[in-house]
Amino acid sequence: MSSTWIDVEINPPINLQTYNCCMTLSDVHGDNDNKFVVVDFGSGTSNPQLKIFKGLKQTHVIYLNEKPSAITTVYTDNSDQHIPCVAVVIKNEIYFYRNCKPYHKYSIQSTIIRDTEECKLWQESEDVFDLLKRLQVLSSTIGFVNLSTTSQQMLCLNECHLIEYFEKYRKNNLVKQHTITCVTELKRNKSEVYGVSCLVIATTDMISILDTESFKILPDKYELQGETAYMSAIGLYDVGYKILVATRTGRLYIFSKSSTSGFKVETTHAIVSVILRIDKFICCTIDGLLQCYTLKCVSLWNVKLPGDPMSIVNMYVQSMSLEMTVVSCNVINTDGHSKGLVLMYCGSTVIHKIPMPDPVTCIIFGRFGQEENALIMITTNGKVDIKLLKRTATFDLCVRPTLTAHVQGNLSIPKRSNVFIEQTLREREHCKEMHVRTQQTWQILQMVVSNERLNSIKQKITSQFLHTSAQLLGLGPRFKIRFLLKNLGKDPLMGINVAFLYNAQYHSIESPRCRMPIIVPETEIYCETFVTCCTYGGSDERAIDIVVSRGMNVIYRAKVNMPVYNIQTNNHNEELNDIMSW
Amino acid sequence: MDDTKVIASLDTFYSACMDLRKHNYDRCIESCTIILSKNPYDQAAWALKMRALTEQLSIDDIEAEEEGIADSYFNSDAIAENARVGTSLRTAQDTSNQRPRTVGGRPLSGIVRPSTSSAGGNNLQLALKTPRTVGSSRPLTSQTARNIRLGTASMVSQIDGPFINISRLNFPKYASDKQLSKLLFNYIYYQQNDIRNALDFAVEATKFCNFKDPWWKVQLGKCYVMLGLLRDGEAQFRSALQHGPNIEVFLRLSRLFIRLDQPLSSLDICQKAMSWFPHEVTLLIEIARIFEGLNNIPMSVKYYRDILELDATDMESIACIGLHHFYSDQPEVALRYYRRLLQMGLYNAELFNNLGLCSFYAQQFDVVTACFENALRLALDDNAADVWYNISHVAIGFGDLDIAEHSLHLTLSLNSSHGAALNNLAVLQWRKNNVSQAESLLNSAIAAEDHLYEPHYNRALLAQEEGDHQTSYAMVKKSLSIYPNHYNSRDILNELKKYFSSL
Repeated sequence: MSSTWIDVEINPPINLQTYNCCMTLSDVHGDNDNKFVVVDFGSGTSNPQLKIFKGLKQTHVIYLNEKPSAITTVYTDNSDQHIPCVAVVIKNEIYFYRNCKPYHKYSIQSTIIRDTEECKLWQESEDVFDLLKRLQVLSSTIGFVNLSTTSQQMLCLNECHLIEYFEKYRKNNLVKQHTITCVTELKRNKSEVYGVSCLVIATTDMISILDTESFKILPDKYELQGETAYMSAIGLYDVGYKILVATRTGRLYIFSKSSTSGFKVETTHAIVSVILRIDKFICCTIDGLLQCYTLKCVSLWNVKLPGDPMSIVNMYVQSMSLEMTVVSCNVINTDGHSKGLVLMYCGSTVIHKIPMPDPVTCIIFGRFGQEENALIMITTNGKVDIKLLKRTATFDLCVRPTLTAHVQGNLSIPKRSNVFIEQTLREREHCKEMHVRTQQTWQILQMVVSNERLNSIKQKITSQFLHTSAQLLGLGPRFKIRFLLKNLGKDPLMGINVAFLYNAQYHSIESPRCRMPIIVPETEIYCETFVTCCTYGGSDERAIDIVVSRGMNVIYRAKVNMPVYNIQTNNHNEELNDIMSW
Repeated sequence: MDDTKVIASLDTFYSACMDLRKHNYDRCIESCTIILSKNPYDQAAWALKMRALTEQLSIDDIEAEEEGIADSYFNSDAIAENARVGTSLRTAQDTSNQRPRTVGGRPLSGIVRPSTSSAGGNNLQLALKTPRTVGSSRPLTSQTARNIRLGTASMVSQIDGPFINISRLNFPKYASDKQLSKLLFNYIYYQQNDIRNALDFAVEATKFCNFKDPWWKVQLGKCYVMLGLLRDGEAQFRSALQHGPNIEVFLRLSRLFIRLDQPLSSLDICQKAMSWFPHEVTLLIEIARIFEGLNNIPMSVKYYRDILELDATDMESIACIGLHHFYSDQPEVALRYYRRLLQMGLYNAELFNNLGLCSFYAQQFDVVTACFENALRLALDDNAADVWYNISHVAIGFGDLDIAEHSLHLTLSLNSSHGAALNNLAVLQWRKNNVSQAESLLNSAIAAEDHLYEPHYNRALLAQEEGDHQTSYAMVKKSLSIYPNHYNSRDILNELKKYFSSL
């Protein structure tokens, strides 16, 4: 361990409460020293603060009014000073801070809703509780997310504020406010660090791109279903780009420039985090699977993680040109305590492990200060841990078999044949006739089946309560017939007799009758007897009939086909006879 | 009138020759008997009668062989028990799990051939215990079915003593006669079915022609194969091939290797033969069958397609390709192939059954019932069970569970050891909450047909639900040993493992 990482001693310890999307490493002052920019949510009682750390020292604090959903840094101009803006997303607004001072505010306009059922409800209702009830019904039919923000807020309000709220908003128009859930940067036309970026903004049902030079929305827009939880972008806006979007319900979309609809994957479990690379993307689901797909959504591999995943981050070490996936897991020890484990995957192989005393919730890798490869981790109790990668560090890159989880093979779905298309046409054109004919013929068949069944019951050759099977053992000419009986009913069967009917010309049977003992339900009993083939003959008469009777009525009758045995012996006899007669 | 007069005035021997050509064997034999009664030393009439008697019973014996239990288990040429995967017909890796299995546990083929019923499990116990009904009884020795018919005929026709008493025949004398020897051999081999004497005779004959006649070598090989001396047979066939390529010999050699369970050598032989006879359909059929036996369905289908290009009326190829399409989710294409068979004049229960199933899965519901009605009408006892079983499937598809249950009961009344039917009936009973009956039905299904994984899996699921984890574990293990990739079985196993480790 010591050969790979240098532990940074942090004294006094720094405590931060944050999320992965609310921290970044960036040179915010343009002095060629990467700062650690993070939102500290604190204990929850005070407002969150945007903190900037230079090395281990906190240099700036910006107080925020509301809880932000994401932060990122973007370069907004091509000036030589190279000072980026820190973009902080709060509700429907993005605050841009430059040099730790407010620089610009961009807000997404709320839309006014007219002529929907919801509007009618608001207009018609006089009483607040009546409205509340009807809104609750509406929300259960069309879904809470599809309601206007006004209604949503009302449904969430405490009862004592209801009337006040109702009086305040009943005359106003209903508005739908689009909350920004996710934001990520996308370079405009230069891929270098100081290149001007656009901001990809994910609202509840739409992905749009903001030009940060003019603060105007660019024409590319993508629609999707579900709220975006994670987003990642790669490429250049002017050349070509891919945006990977993961929704809260576990859908993954890939949008690329100038295509209206993206590829889509649906995972069975909620997604923990996603990483987008040039030719593939990696997503981690809550059930502990690390999955890798191509950008056309073909599964490449999946790996079972040793514990519950907490967060994942991409780690690119330029000096080794090594791209790794860092996964932090929550591992439960044998004694029941949860511990942290940070794993580094290269492809689907684990190449390095760092055990941690506590589970790591947030993790970020990048340039920190002057140090190229720093790994900053924040554990569940808020303690910040920083590790620096040694320049001499090596990773064990030999390929070894991994515990890959079951890869779902592609189902071989045959091509749609011409015949199939012709048939569907026929179905479409003659659906009524086909249906009627099917019904008619099926009814006739129902009658046939019922009749046959009735006949078979009348003949009493089978019994519902008795299952039988016969086995013929031996090679001949002497065989053993073993006849197995099983009681399927609930009551024991008594007085069962088994008789073997045979043609005395061909066979002789040692004991052709057999009295069975009481047959208890669920158990199998059998009777055996020896059969000897005497002469050779036609095949039809060679069968032996087995009859099972109970008192006077036959309850089962079956035929056992006797095999023919070697004819050579017969020929032999034949010859002997000849000699005798000679 | 005139014609009959002309015929009556014909020379008896000439009319006998004509009768033989017209396949009027009985009349030919009669005429010969008349001639021989006048002149017992008329060699021509004697030879003609011999030929007629032989041809009356001759069969294409290349395909006829059926391996008996005794042959396959008391075989001195026994090949390694655990042959490497892909080199043996018995250990052929199962790639197509969609295809149902035959009683022997092999995936279904498109056509019933003598060999499809055999080559079953490796276990003698199992082979002897296989449930026997009227429908299924496996021969004990290779002297079976058709061969026995030959034997019976020879006995029936000997009203006034045998035509030729082989035991008193002077072998060297007849073997030296080039005209008569081949006819006499065929008579002994096919008509009398007396392989030992046929072999002795062939040995004499080949000695007489200085081991130069390939025909005798082939006959020797045939005799050796019939007697189970496969390696000697191989030597004879190979030496016959040195005189020049011959399709029959290649085929016999290929069959021999299949009996030795060396399908790859068999394929080699066929490929060699193909270089001599590139458009020979029988060779292509042989190759296609071997690939099917090795469970290499794509290759098999490729060869069957080649066959259809050369001979568009080959029923085996059409049936096998149809089956392949059916089990690769293209029932509408399969329907085309089976319809072609119907147009070619095939008219039996199996075909209508297949047509019904294809149209059901291709959603042409209006013709399904008609097909099954035809199938039922044409079905005999042994295949009626399967027709009923398929009807139960259609009924389940239509949601008519009562009819499905009745059909399954009918299946079982015809074939009480129909494992799949027992299993499905159990599932239907389970749905009706008759758990105890479902359980006993599943047990019977397992006892009846051991090679199905479904009853094992269902039994495991049932036991799991009842909390009988031990049984569930045992059953799920069996299910996985039959079908190692069965996802649901693995699920149960994982759950059980979790449960057991938490104890």
